[in-house]
Amino acid sequence: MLWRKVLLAAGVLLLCTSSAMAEVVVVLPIDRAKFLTGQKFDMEIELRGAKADEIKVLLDGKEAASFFGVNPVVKKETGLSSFRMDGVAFTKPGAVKVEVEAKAGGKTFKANVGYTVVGPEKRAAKNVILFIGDGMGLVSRQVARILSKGITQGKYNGFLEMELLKDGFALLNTSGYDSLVTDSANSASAYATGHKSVVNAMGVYENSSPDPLAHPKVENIAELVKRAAGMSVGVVTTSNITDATPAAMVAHTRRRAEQNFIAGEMLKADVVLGGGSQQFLPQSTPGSRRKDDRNLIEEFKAKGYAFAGSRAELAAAKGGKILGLFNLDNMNVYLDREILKNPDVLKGFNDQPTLPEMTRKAIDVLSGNENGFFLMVEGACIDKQLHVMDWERSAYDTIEFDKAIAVAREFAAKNGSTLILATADHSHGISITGTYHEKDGKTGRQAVRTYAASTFPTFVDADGDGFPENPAPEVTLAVEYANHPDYYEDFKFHEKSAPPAIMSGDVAIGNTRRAPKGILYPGNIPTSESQEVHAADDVPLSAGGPGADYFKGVMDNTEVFFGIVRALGLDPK
Amino acid sequence: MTEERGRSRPRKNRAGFDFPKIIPSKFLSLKFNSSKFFFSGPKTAGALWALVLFLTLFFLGGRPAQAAATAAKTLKFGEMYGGVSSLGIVLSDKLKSLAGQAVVMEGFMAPPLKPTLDFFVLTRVPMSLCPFCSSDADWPSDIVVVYLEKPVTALPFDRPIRVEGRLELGTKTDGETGFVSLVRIYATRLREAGD
Repeated sequence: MLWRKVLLAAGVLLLCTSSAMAEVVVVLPIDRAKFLTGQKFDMEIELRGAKADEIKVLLDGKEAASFFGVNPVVKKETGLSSFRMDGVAFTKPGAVKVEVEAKAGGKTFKANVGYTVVGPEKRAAKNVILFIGDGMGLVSRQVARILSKGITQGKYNGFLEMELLKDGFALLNTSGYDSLVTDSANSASAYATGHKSVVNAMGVYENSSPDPLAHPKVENIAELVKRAAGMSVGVVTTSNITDATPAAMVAHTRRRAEQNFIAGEMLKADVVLGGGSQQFLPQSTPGSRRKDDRNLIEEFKAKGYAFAGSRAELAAAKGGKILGLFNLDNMNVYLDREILKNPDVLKGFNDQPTLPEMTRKAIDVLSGNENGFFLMVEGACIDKQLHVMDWERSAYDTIEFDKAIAVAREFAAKNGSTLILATADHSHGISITGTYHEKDGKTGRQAVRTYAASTFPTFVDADGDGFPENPAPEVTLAVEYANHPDYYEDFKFHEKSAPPAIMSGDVAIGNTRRAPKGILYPGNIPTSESQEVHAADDVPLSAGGPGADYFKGVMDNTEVFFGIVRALGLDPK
Repeated sequence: MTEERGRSRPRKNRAGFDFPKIIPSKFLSLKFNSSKFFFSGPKTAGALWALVLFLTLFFLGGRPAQAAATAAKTLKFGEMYGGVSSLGIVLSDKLKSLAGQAVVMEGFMAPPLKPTLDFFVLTRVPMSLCPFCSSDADWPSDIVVVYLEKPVTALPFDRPIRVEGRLELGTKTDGETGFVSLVRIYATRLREAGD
């Protein structure tokens, strides 16, 4: 492997000294990418900064065209040249060596990358259910465990459903190939394709195109299970169904903001449940966020989907395909939807199903396919509520997410042959510093109880539903944030949500409405950020059922995909 | 709930603002040249903001006494919609009955992209995001687009404002920005709420 030692990794190589504008050869997929045999992808080589006279691409010493049996599309333009082959696939497992040589204006530019290709395994699981708690790092799990199960004399009174998945456990690295800290599009894309991408992208590698839909694609799990095994696909979330995590299961776009487009891509799934009908209604309908006249709800119906717009309609929905959209925008969070029920917050959406109800319906419908199913269930607002620094609302959504896992475990116990994975896509910088109470008259930071003073919190779940009745008990948790804008902190639950900071021009300024009697915590991230931001921390993954043994130790996030396709024995041709 | 993480569209620096000609430069220097002023937080800056707002609106709005005489009907955010479901929003009878008429609404001016505005978005609560910098998927559904007779600079971010003007309903796409709106007010008058 001397050839690789000599060169830089990452597929971005500069081998020729040059003047002002640096010419760069970019090979996509990137160096060290891993593939399943038969998994389709677009290969693209760009020479950036020069008009190429010639681009030569060898795979294992063979001309690319004859290696893949596909004629490349070659573009030679001033400042950018491209060599692209769409829809190619590797047929044999093993290592693949790619050598690129581009000539421009008498100079030669070279790049070498290496790929790994894995072959199919014997099928162990009929179904896979992937639970993604968005932003649900290790601490989010623990906060939910404390609230939901309680702790007595230092021992927990019980564990979360996700913590009872014990056949496999791993810590996942979450970075994309562009940056240390990822976003939900990029990270969900790693689970859905086995390939890293860049922030705000899904199912693609990033080329130079300004068109977000023109970047080289990688086949995703929804496409693969249908094509290779005739399985059914479901996506369930509490956010807009076109938001990053569910979108990454089915769509390919450099920009997650292409939600009008993503809504149409949801036709790749058989069961689609969540919020966000605003992306499905024609622009003439009040409340629509479409920029065209397409009525996707009618298009889905015409393709055989039953439509449900409320919890009652979901319960009544029949058939093998369901589109359920329960809010124009993101669904409300559990605390607001099921406990507080403030009409100003719900804004008329008084009959939204819970995540466990949606999960149960999805499993009921999808399990009708004898070829099996792939289902992704997302707890979306665990993340969204941490962004606005409301750990209590986030925790109740984590508990709700955990209840959805209980539904899947129940199904797996009855029907077997189901791999259940529960993980997060990235973390948030929260930590439990101790507990908080004002019993002795102290307030603010003086009332944060550390070490021996951190007596156990007094959350009570009297009805045993797993959700404490009161999110603001006498002794609560002191949850603090590592990465935040200027904000006001009072360590208390806020019955009415308020963002931590609001924008004044380009600068985020602490929002006094969040905690009128709170203390100002000066921000520690750029003033352009008005919310708490993601953290680069590894995230835990718990696995149960056939194929769960794949998950152990510390792994790259792309391995979630390979664990899934291995369990399903996928062998796309 | 930033739609595009970390890659919001570049915004012009405050230093690069073009100020409308209707505001004399001595007030601009008060408003924009002191970085201390901007970072001193809402409490300490409150009095200054109030002064700036008053002066801005005075020059913008012209003759308060005359404007106050119009018989504009009050419209609240909570009164705009008669019903909402996944299949869309139903406009309230009150909103529909006020179409084409003079109305008064109170709300907050969303942080704008452009330093000078010929329209802005009025929201029920202060926005935590620069709405034009993120995808329009981040917008709340109950917003009102306010078109202005004369361009203004952004008003203070955290003070309720009162907008008076003619109400217009129906989907409309702004020619310049592509922003789609459903409820609009063609404003004849802006002032700080509670005056």
